[in-house]
Amino acid sequence: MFKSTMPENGKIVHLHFDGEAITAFDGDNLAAALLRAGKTQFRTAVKNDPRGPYCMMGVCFECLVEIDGRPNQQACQIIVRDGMTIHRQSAPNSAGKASG
Amino acid sequence: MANQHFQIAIIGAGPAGMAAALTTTKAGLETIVIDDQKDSGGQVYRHLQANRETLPAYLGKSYYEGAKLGQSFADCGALYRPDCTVWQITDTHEIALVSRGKAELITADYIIIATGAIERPMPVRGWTLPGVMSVGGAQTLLKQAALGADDAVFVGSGPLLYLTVWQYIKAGLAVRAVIDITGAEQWRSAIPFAPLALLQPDMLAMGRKWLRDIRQNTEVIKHVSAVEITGQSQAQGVSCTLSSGGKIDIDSNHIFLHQGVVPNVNLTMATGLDHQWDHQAHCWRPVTDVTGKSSDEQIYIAGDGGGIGGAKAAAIAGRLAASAIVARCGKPRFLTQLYYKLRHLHYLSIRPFLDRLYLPPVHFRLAQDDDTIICRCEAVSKADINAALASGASGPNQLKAFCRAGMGRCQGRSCGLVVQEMIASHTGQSMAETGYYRLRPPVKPITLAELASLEGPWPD
Amino acid sequence: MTEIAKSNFDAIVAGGGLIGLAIGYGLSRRGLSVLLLDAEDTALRAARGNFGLVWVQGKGAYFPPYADWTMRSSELWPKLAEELQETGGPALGLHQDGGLSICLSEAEMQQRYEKLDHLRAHQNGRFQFEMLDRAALKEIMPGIGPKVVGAAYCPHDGHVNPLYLMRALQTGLIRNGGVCLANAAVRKIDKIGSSIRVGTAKGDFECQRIVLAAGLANAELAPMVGLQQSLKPQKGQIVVTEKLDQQMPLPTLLLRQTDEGGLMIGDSHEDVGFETSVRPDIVSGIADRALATLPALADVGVVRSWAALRVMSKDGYPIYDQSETMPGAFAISCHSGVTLSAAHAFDLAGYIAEAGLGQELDGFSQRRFNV
Repeated sequence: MFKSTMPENGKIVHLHFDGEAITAFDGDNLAAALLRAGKTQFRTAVKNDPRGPYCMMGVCFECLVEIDGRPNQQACQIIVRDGMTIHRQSAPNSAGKASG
Repeated sequence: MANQHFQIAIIGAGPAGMAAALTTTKAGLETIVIDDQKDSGGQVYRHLQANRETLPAYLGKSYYEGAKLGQSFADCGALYRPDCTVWQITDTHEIALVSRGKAELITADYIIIATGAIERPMPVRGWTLPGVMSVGGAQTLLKQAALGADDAVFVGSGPLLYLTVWQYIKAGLAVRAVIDITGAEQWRSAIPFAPLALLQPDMLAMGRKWLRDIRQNTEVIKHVSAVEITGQSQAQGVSCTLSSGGKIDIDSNHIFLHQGVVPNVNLTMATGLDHQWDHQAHCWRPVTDVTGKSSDEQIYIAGDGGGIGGAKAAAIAGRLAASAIVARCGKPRFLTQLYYKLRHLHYLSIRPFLDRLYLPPVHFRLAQDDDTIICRCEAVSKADINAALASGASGPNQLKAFCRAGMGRCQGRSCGLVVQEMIASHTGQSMAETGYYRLRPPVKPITLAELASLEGPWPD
Repeated sequence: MTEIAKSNFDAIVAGGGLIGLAIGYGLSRRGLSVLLLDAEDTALRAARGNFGLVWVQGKGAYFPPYADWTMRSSELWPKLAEELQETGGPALGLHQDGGLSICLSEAEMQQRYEKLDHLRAHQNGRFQFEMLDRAALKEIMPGIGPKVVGAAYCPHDGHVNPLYLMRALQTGLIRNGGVCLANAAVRKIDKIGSSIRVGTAKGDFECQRIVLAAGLANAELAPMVGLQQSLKPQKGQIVVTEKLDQQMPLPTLLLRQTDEGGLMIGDSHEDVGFETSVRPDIVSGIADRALATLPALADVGVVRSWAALRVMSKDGYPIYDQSETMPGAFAISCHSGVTLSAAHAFDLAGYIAEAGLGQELDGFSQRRFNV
């Protein structure tokens, strides 16, 4: 489990991850917020293998999630917003949406 | 927004990009700094401006040394555009970028590419499992979110790994183990260059301090010939095979891998600049002159993206490239340039030693198990690549065509060097002769709508 | 290397793209010993830029031999696919369920119709097509955008994975005893006794037949065997998207979905010489047209793009020739390497192996330009 190494304070922000309510702090990096909440798997990839964030700097493209209906968002490059609805990406899903 | 023009465009806001901007703005040149991160600092000084308020001490002195540069950059008057992704530089020096869902073209008389480094891939069985991250990723979580994992296992070698473990210890996290793959072979090849490294005694002292604190605070396992990560849907542990034949199994849900950093050449290669294989550092780097000028007269490269040197070397390289450009704009500063050249050389004096000491052994550069995934994006395994080699694939691009390795979003950042070495090993060619994937724009994915939104000086 | 140099091959094929591989494979399956000489991994490599269509509609509308040859190849394709699948590599993904050419204006519809109607008239009923109006097209592709006026549908069209095709041809060639040598572009060809000697950076080799299939480089090589191939590069750019769920029932001329799920989107026809950079203005136009066709693709990410040079003759049709001054020497070039793979592997390889090109392919000689 990831845990905080500094006192936690800051305005609380509410997110949903695959239907589950999660709290984060205002200004949080989304990948970090999900990891703090104990979520290490963010998606399944081309051969249905489970993946999660790896590099945290936007070069590995492993941390892809669907945010508010838009797929393939790199969670490590995104700051949380109150009310964000995040889903794990997996194949297959509905027409038009990218998968994997 | 279409067709903005600047005298200097700097891509990247790490130490090299920031330092370059200080020099160009001081000389009165119109400067834009384009950054794909949310705020300045690159990776080495990531989240530094924000951390100056809470000051997590465990991040260490050298991290906070970047604060002054960051502050000066914020005040220097360059147009700073964060959260913008450059996806192409054309041969007429147009920079195509995406910002807030819209594509733009920016032109500049001179471009400084300061896009830094990435970690060398470390393909071990199970490395794609959730819970496994690169050490750089773990360090970024510490910097960005004050987040660390208890009972993590660190695997690999290199200054970034030792620094991060040290930071973990200072942050009060319990480090389960460090599996250090540096061996006698690495020491033997590095020792002759130790005298040069003595030109930077503070760096050496810092490294020794990290290693001592690590030894005193966690289990260090050495003489390891193989490592694999176990688990089905997430990492459960690490199993290492010792050179002596024994095995050690360690339970952990958090495994952090690192075996060095290499220049991030995706933008420079897609731009068509000349590159050379750096035999000492075992990686690709753009061909540049001593000021950082590339094979294109208008494009300079500064920082780790031109060759690994670390944060201080990067800042000097930024100054050096910027001064060279300032000189070409009619304001030569011969002595300043000379000073930067000498300081740059000084900072690089430790590299021959470090590059050799921390070059991972070949059996870690290559995967050891057939089912190890090599191309993460397309889930192409070592066995798949070997099958493509057996079908007659003789180069990286033919191999890519035959088995999809390198076709994913990351454009080879996670697999390219491994694939290249597998081909070299199979064909008997040198790494230089083998070559690399032919990289093309977009350097990072861009949506069809963003592409279609591009306005330019052409008829619709 | 010295063992290879000493032997005398039944055939040397110069060029490891789709033309060379198909012919090399075709020769090897007839029992000939084949040496395939390929240039560098980073040479122009037109074949690797191929879109992957196995396309019949419109081809040879004003040049019947090409229409016949294309149709023939399309009919032979299932046999090629079946044979190649036995090499055990990734599935070729051949689909021959028909194809569409989308029209974004009435003028485009009219132009398309005239061309295909002309083709039908000269093919004695062999060639079928149908113009679909917007309503009919919407039944096949519900997501078409408001700017789409209709499409030309042709039941003979299809698509395949061109890269896996190359892999399968090469594997098949090697399994049949063929030898493939990379970084061995041909530099010199001359006669030595009753054989032909081919010089490369990797040594000299001898053979009874030489097939020049080196794409644009054929222009330089052909004179070495007493032939001429006037070829010009025509640039085309393509973008590829990330994977999507399967949603395109048929390939279209400019937009097709691969079996892996990515969309391949093209294209351009640029006369800019030997220049292979990807231009943002061109790919922006490609994206624009794709969104006009299927607006729901707006948020789909482009992950790769490339530019390749089509091997273009003056009229765009293949050039097939055999040398009179150097018997056993052939020069073969075309820009439809995928569609013609079957005809090349079976028929053309047969002509090269046996009696020579023959009358059927007379119309494709370079001589047609000497009028």
